[in-house]
Formats: sequence, structure tokens, C-alpha cells
Amino acid sequence: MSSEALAQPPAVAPLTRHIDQALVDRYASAARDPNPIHRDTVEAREGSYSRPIAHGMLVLALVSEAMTAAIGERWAAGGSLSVRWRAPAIPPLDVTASAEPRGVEGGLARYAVRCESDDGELLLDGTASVPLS
Amino acid sequence: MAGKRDFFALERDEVLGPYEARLDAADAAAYLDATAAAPAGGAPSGWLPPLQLGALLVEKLIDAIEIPPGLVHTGQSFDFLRAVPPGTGFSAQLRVAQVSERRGVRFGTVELELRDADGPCVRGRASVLAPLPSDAGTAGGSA
Repeated sequence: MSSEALAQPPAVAPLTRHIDQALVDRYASAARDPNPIHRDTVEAREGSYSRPIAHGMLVLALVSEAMTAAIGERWAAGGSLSVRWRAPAIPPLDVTASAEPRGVEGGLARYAVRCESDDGELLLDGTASVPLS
Repeated sequence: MAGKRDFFALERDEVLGPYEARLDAADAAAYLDATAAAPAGGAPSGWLPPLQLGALLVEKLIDAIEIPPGLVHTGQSFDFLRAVPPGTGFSAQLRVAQVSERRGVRFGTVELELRDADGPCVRGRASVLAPLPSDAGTAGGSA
């Protein structure tokens, strides 16, 4: 059996954050994203969801934060992330990010990542990987 | 920055940028506050949160392209190549990797690269879509 077969990806603890409109407003400012669909604007109220939606990158930040907390600098210097957004995050809501180990391949620890709302709706899913050493 | 490009006029292999930017410790603190990140999972002492670098690339994409009504950011990938300390100056460049139109919707994929003085720090791909303007009809080709 190869050493890779024996290796296990580091565990990543799930991370839950409350996303409300105040946080979305702060993110819009910090990320310099002026899109009015994220704020209490006419565009948001007349849009598909009749209210502001959180930035997808704000939701994705929870995944990166969870990976950083578990893996540290190796995530910042070798980590990879690929996701698709599946549903809008409409504040206020609690979002939980998780990364489930999917084995080791090519020297990389691989994960299935996802974010869910507090009512179980899938907000995004995808994959992540990080070098084992 | 030059005028914004029309999303519906983007062509495959079109290059946007480079765009200059800088992230300082205060920017990192604002990002962490805006993502409600706990200190342990956010910006440790010596480097910027990796997804903040990704967010910077998305910012430059938003700056470069006139965002049409109904545009949706559907997918995103990032490769974090190096940890980067606060106070770093960056150059961001974007390349239109793919555009297509189908059933009244225009799809676009843009490759993103963030470099500092030592070379690439982050690479990524952003996938977006937007409904074609109603006067454009339903297109079936691809570029």
C-alpha cells in the first residue's frame, strides 16, 4: 500500500457564521463591490429575490476561513478552491461551511466543500485541495 | 482606469489590465471585520487572508466590466500560490477565456491573475452569466 493510501487529509472543523445586512454592507465596503443587489436599494427590491442578497464571495470566505484555521499557511501557499454557487444567501441567516476529506492524491489532500443555510439549503459546493507538506 | 468594457462585447482572449492595487494591514483588518472572521482563521500575523486576494481579483473584474442587470457570478476557482504579507503591491490581469450565448443568456469565463514583485500569487477563473438585452433577441452562436 502506498504512503498516500495511508495518509489522511487533516480534519477541517465546520464553521458557522451569522450573516446579516450590516455584515453584507461592511463586506460591500471592504471588498469595494458596489453592486446594488447587495444593499437595500430599488434594484435589490425589484430584483429576483425582492430583497438584498449576500455576496457570494462573502459566503465563500467562510470556506477559506475554515481551511485556514485547520491548515494554516499551507492553505495560503498552495491551497486550491473551486466552487459553484447554488442558491442566494438572503440575510439574515446562519451559514455553515464544511470541508469533508476525500482522500489523498498526487501529494494533495482533497476535500468536498459546501456551505448550507440554517434551514439546510445548499448555497455553494465544490472542491478544495492542499499540499500534504 | 480606462472605460469599462461592455460585458456583451467581450471577446475570447481579450486581456483586461494590468490593474495596480495594494493591500495593507488596515485593509486586512477591514476584510476580517467584514467576513466576521475569528482571528485564528483570518489574518495571522504575517500574511493576508488568501481569499482577500481572490476578492481583490473579483474587485478588478467588477471595475473592468460594466455589470449588466441580472449578471450572476455562478462559479469561481482560486489557486493560492504564495502567502503574501500586508503592505504588498499587486498587479491584476484578466483574460477572457470563453464567451458563449445560448437561449438568451450570455456566459463568460474570465481567467484572473494577481502578481506581486516576485511573480504570481493567485490565479483563478470566474464564471458569470447575464440575460441578453431584450432587443438582442436570442442568440445561438458562440465566440
